[in-house]
Amino acid sequence: MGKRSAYLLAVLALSGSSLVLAALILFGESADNYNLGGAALGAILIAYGLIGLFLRKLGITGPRGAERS
Amino acid sequence: MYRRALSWLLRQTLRLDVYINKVYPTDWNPLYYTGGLTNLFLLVLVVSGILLLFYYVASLDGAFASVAYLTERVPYGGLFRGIHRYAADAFIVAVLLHLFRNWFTDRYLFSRDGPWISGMFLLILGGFIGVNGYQLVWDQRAQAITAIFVSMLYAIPLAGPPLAQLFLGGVGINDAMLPRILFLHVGLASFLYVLLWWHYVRVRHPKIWPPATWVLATLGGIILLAAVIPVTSGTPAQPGLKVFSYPLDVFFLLPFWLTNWLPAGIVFAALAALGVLGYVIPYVSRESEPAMGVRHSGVAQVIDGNCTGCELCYYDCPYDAIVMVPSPHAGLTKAAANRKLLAAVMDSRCVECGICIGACPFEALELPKFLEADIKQHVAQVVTA
Repeated sequence: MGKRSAYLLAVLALSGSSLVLAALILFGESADNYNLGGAALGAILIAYGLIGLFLRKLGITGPRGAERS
Repeated sequence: MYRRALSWLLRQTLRLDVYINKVYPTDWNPLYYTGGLTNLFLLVLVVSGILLLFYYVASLDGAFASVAYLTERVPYGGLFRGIHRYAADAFIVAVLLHLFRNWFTDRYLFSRDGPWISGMFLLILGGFIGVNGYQLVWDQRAQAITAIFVSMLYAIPLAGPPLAQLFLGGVGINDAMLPRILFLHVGLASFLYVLLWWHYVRVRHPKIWPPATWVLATLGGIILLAAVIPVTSGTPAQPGLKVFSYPLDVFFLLPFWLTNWLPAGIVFAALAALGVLGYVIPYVSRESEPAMGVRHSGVAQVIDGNCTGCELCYYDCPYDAIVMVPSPHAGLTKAAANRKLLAAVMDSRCVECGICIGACPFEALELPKFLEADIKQHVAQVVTA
């Protein structure tokens, strides 16, 4: 498996995890479990940060092609 | 010895950069954004602090209960308290990383002494504000560190006792103390932004904010930490009771821990000496005769006829020493014939570094005592020898 495939897989996994975390935020809010909701919120922000990093590594975001080389 | 140690630290810093740049894109290296991250943490502290302020009661009877109410009863109150606490720790870590990086990479000398001095004020005030934050909770830890802090103040010759009375609002612990500490906590935190202005005013293109990925990741980390390891108070303070042990925060309370072995006055004197050392670093580190005569090259001069008004030197000067003014007449060269602007060097700000000369593609700048022709001749002589 190449680096690009690994990054792509990571983005997909993190996106899936983010959905679960979003559900946990809602559950935490509805059950008045603020620490659970807070933990899920923190984790989802970290996941978004990592998605941003991997998208950049994939070359989808970031500087233009000419600048990348 | 000092220079050799700094050279070694510079090499290690650059090695670390190379390693991190393999993991992250170069422009996302977190060590390039230690200042921006500090700014982010300060903003988190201000926003979370404002929310905490709505519930805080600054009195000996009400402080502990109000913090407990906020933590246990207010929705997300405990989370916000945790965010405030962990962001404060992150702030100190980021400031220290920023300080060491700029120290090891020589970014504190000459015209950069302003950012260094203002940065030292930011660090010292940041630490003091953090200690005030622990006092505001008014549990037994707050009581212990207040007692030690007052002992430190009393150890100051002449000014000590009046300062201690000013801090306490009387002779001993009384109801006037917590409003004063709250004022110090909030007022000095606001003053940090004035110091930040001073910190940035002479820096060209400062990176005042980290990339979005780091904003998300660090913010997420702080919120996660606040939720997983909630911040709690200890036992309520009982004035008159001697407190022998309390939980330690290594980022703010280390000097207080040292008083287990040393008198408070000695610890305070050591802190003051460390602070003074921090302030004089830019001045004691200067070499009297820098290599190759740099810094004795004369203030950069604009060669009027060649300047095209392109602004490249203006953008590249790290010391904000070049301004663009409306050109009173056309330049002499073909490229400069239709210029609208002309570069002008502010003598008081120029440190004679020569960066503008490298930036100018039109040979419109020169260091009068360090001419390009002389450098070429010097290089030729060295090569021949």
